[in-house]
Amino acid sequence: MKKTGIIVVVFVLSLVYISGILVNRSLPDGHIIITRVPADKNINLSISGVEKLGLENAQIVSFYPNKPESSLNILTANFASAISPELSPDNRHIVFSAKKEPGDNWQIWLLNLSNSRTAQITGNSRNCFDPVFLPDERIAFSCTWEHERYGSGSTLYTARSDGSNLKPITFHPHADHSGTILHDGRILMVSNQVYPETGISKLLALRPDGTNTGLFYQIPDGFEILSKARENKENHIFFTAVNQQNGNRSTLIRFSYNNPYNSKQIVYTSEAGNIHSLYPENSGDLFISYQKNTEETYGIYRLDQQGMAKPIYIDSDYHFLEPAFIEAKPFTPRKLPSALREARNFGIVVFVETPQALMASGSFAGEKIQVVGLDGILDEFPVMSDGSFYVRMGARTPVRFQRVNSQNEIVEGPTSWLWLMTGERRGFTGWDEKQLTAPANRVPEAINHPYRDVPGFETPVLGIQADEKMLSEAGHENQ
Amino acid sequence: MKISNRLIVLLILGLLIFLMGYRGYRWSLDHYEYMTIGVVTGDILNNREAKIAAVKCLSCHTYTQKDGFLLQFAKKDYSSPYNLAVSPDNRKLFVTGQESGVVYIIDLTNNQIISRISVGDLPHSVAVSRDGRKAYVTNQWSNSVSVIDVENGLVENTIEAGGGPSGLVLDQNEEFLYVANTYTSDISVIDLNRGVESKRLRAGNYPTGIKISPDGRHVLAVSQRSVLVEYREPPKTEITVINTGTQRVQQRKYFEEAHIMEKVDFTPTGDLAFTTLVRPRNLVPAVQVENGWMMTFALGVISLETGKMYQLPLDEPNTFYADPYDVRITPDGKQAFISHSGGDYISVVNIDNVREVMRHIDDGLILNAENDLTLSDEYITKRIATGSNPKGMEISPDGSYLFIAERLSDQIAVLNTRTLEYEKSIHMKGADQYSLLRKGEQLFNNSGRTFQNQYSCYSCHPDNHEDGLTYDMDFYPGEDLSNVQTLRELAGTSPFKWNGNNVSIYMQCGMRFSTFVTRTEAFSPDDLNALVGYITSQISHPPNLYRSETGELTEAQRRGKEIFERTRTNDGRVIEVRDQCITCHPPPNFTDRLKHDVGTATDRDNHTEFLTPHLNNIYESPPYLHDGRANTLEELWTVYNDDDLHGVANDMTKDQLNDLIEYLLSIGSAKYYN
Repeated sequence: MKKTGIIVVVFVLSLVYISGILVNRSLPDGHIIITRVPADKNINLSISGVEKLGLENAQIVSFYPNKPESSLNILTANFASAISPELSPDNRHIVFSAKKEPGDNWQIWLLNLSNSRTAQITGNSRNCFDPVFLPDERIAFSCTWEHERYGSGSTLYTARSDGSNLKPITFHPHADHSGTILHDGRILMVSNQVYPETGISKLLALRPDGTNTGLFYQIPDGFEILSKARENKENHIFFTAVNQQNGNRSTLIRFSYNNPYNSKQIVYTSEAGNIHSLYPENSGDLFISYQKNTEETYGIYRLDQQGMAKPIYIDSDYHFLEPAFIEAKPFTPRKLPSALREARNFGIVVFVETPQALMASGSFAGEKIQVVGLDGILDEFPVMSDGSFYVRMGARTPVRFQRVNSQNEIVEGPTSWLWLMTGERRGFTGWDEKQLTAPANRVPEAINHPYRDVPGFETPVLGIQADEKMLSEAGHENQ
Repeated sequence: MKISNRLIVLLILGLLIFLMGYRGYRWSLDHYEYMTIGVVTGDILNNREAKIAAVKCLSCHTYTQKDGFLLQFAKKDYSSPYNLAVSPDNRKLFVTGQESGVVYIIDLTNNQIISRISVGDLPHSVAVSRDGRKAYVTNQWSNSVSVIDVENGLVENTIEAGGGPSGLVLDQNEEFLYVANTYTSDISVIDLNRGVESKRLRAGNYPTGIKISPDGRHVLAVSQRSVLVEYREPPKTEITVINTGTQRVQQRKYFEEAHIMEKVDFTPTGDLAFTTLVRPRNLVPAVQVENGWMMTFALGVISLETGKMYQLPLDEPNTFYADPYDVRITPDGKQAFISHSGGDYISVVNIDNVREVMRHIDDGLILNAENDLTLSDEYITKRIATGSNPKGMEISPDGSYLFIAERLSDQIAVLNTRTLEYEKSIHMKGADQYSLLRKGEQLFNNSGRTFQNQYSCYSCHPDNHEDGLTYDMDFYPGEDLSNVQTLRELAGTSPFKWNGNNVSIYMQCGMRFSTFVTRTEAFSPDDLNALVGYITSQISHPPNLYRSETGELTEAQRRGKEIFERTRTNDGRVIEVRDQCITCHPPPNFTDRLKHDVGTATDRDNHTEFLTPHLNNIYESPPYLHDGRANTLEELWTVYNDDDLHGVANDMTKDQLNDLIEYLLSIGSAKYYN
C-alpha cells in the first residue's frame, strides 16, 4: 500500500513536471517566424515603415526550415491582419503590429510563443507599427501622426510590455520607423524628414530614453533604405536599399558598427528580383525575403557568405516577408541608464568648432548662430571667437541650428532637426552631422560665459504628446 | 502564573520580537540605501528588498575590510606578468612577475619555466645583455635594479636607482644602463662596470618607457604625466632625448594635448620613434561620451629626421581602444603592434601606411588628424583580441613571434607575426581560477563597462592613482570642476568625491557612476562586489620617498610636524582649534572626513565646503585643491589662503613653510600612524 502510494506520488509529480515543460514550451531554436501576405497583394519595393500598413490579410506564421510546409503554424489566426514580428531577448515572445478586425487601426500586440496567448499593448486612434523589444524588456514602436501644417509622419514611443509607462522619445517632423537594437543598447531606426521638405532616409541612433539622437549612417547618394537595419554577431549592420541610379534594383548593404563610413560593402544586388527584408544568422549567413523575379512571390532564402542565395520556402500563393530566426541572440544589448530628470524641462547644448574650421575661418566676427524652430527663428546670438556656443533650451522642442554672416547669409547649416530631453546634455564638434571628429581638448570660450537661454519653449507638437488614450484597452490578455 | 497571564506575556514577547525584527529589517534597508543608493538597476530591482537580495550584507562587510580576516578567502596568488625580454639567441624569455616579485626565465623550446628568481618589490621591466648572460630588472617599489646571473639563476648585485625605476635600456657597449625613475621623474645612468649610479638626468613627469636608437646615439624616454601647465590649459607630456655620447639631455620635446605615454620604440632605420599616448578631453565639458568627448587614444610618431611629431588616432568612430601600453616594431620595419591594456586588444599597424599618412598631413591633405576618428582605418590592419590586460610585449630577434604579457590572465600569449594567429599560451603557474579580487582588478582595468569601450577606471587612475587632471563633469559646463583623486588606500577615508556625497565605494561605483560617467549598463551586483573589494583592499601607496626607512623624521620634517600641530602663532596668539592643521587632518589618514569651507571655492563652484582630502603620500598628487588650481603644496598657503581660512599660516616665515611642506611630503601610508 505504502509502495503504491509512493508510486502514485512520483507519477503525479512527473505529470506535473512534464505538463509544466509542455505548457512553457516555446518554439524551439531553428524555427523561422515570418509575415505571410496573400500573393494577390502588390508588394512594392518601398514597403517599409508606414507603407507596410497597407497590407491586409497578412498573418504571422512559423515554420521549420527543413520541412517548411509540414511544420507551418499560423500564430495570429485570430487577427484580421498581423505583420512585423520581433522576438523578445529570450525568444519566448514576439511583438507585432496587427488589426484585430478589418476596420481597426494597426496596434501593437504581444504574443507568448509557449501558449499563443496575446496581449494588446497599445489601443488608440493612430496606427502603430514596427515594435521591437528594448534590452530592459520594454517595447519601442512607431505611431503615425498628421498635422495640418507639418504633414504626416511617425514618432517612436516606448512602453512597458503591459502598455503602461508610454513615452514618446522622438520629437522632430520626421517619419521614424523600423527600429532595431544595437549591441551598445541604442535604438537604430530609419528616419525621413517630412518638414519643411522631404528628406532622404537616414539611419539614426538614439538611446532608449530619447537622448543623444544622431546620425549613425548616411546612405550613399542614389539609395533609399527599404528594410530594418540589423546588426549581426560580428557587429556588421545589414539593410536593404533601392539603388535609384541602377534601375531601382534592390541591394543588400553591409557596414561595420565600428567604422560605418569606411566599411560599406554591397553584399548582394538582385539582377532581376527584389530583396525585401533580412535577418542575420549567427553562422554569418542571412535569411532574406527575396523575390527572384517580379513574376514570382517573395520567398525565404538563405544567403551564404559567398553571396549564394538558396531557397528555403517559396509558396506561389503567398509572399513571405520579415523573417526572424529563433536561435541564441548574437549579443546581449546593454541596458543603458537614463540621466533624465523630469524636474528639468530643459537641456543644454555645447558646440565646439573643429580646428580646421577655425583655421579656415580665422575669425567668426559678425557671425551669428540662429536657432530655428518649426515656426521660425527662435533666437539668434553672436558666435564666440572660437566658433563655440552654449545654449539652454526647452526639452522636446525640435530645433535646427545655422550660422549666418553679417549679411544674414547662411554660412553653415541648417542642421537636421534635433531636440533635447529633460536634463539632457549634448555636444557637437563641427557642423558635419556624421560627427566623425573628436573635440580638441580646449576650454570652449562659450562656457566661460553664462548659457544662452533660448526662448520659446515649444510644447510638443505634431500630435505626439504622450496620449493617455493610447493606453486604453491595453494590458489585458485575449484568447 | 495564570494561563491568561502567560498568554499575555507570550503575546508581548512575540510583539517585541516582531517589532525588533521588523525594525531591524527596516534599519538594514535604510542603511543599505544610505550606503549604496542606486547600486542596482532595472525594473526587477526597483524595490528595496530585491536590492538587499542582490547585494548582501556580507558583500560590504568582508572583502572591503583592508587586512580583514576573510580577505584571504577572496584572494589568490598570481604572477601578473608585466614586461618581457627575449634572449638574443631566441631561446629564453624573461618575464617580470609584478605581483610575485619574481623574474621568470622561460625556455622557449618547450615553454617551460626553468628559473624563478626573486628580486625586489614590484619588478617592472627587464633587459638582457647581448651574450644572454646578464639580465637587469627594475624593482619599482624597491628603488633598485637587480643584476641577474642568468646561467646560475641568481641575483648577483642590486644597484640603487632613483624613485620608482621602471623602463630600462642598455647602451650600445653595454657599459651603461639607462633607467627611467618614474616617481622621482628622472633618469639614472648606471655604470655597470662599477655597479653604481653615475649620473641622474632630469626627465619629464613620471617617465616610464625608454629606448635606445638603433645607432646607439640617443636614448628616448617618454612620460606618463603632463608637465605642469597653466591652469585650464591642455596637458603636454615630455619626451626626453638623451645624447649617449655626452650622457646629457639633448632635447625636450612635447606631445600636446596628450599624456600617459607608456612605451616607445624605434623603426630599424631609426628615422621614426613610436609611442603610445592618451588624449584626454578634461577641458571639454563631459556632456556625453559619444564621438570621443571624454577620451581618445593615439599612436605618437616622432620623425627623428625632421623633428615633426604626429598623433595618429587608434580609435574608430563607434569603438575605442583604451589604454594603449606597449608598442613594438618588427625588425623589418613593416609592422608595429600596440597592446591596449584597457580594451584587451592588439592593434596591428602598417608602417608604410603610417608614412603615407604622415606625408598627407605634411602636404595639408589631412587636417586635424589627431582628432579624426576615421583615420585609423588607413594604417590599422587588424585588431586581435587578447587575454586580460595585455601589457608589455616583445618581438623575437628573428621577427617571427610577438610575446604578449597578458597580466591579469597570468599568461604569455605567443602570436605569429606573419599569420597574425596565436600559436600558444604560456601559463605562469599562478592560481588556476580568478579570485573575487582578481575579477575586481580585471574590471578596474577593462574599458568594456564604458559606452563604446571608451575608457577604463585605469584611464583616469593610471597605476591605481590619478592622472593629475581636472575634469568638467557638472551638469552646467565650467562649474564644480573636479580634480581626480588617488584610489590608493581608500579604506577609512570615506566619504568620497570632493563634495562628500558618496558615502561608500559602492555608491561611488554604482548606478550614478554608470549614469553620468560610463554612460552604459551598471555593474552587476557580483561585479560591483568584486570591484569594490579590489579598490578598497588591494591598492597600496608606494613607499614614501621622503620618509626614511626607519620612519624617523629629518630635522626639517620634525620642525614641520611641530608647525602642523602648533596651537599658537609666531607672535603667541592662540590658534583656534578649528584653524589648526591637525584638527581637520588628524592621523592616521590625516582627514577628519568632514566638509569645510577653507575659502577655496570660486564663483564657478556651487558649494563652498569641500571634503577634507587625506594626506597620505600627498606629494604624489599634484595639482592640489578640489579644482586642481594649485600646482604645488606651497601655493596652498602662498596663493590660496589670503584669509587664513585654510589653517592659520600667513604668519609663517618662508623657512617655516618649507619645513611644513617637508613634513607633509613625508606623510606616508596610514599604517605608520595606527
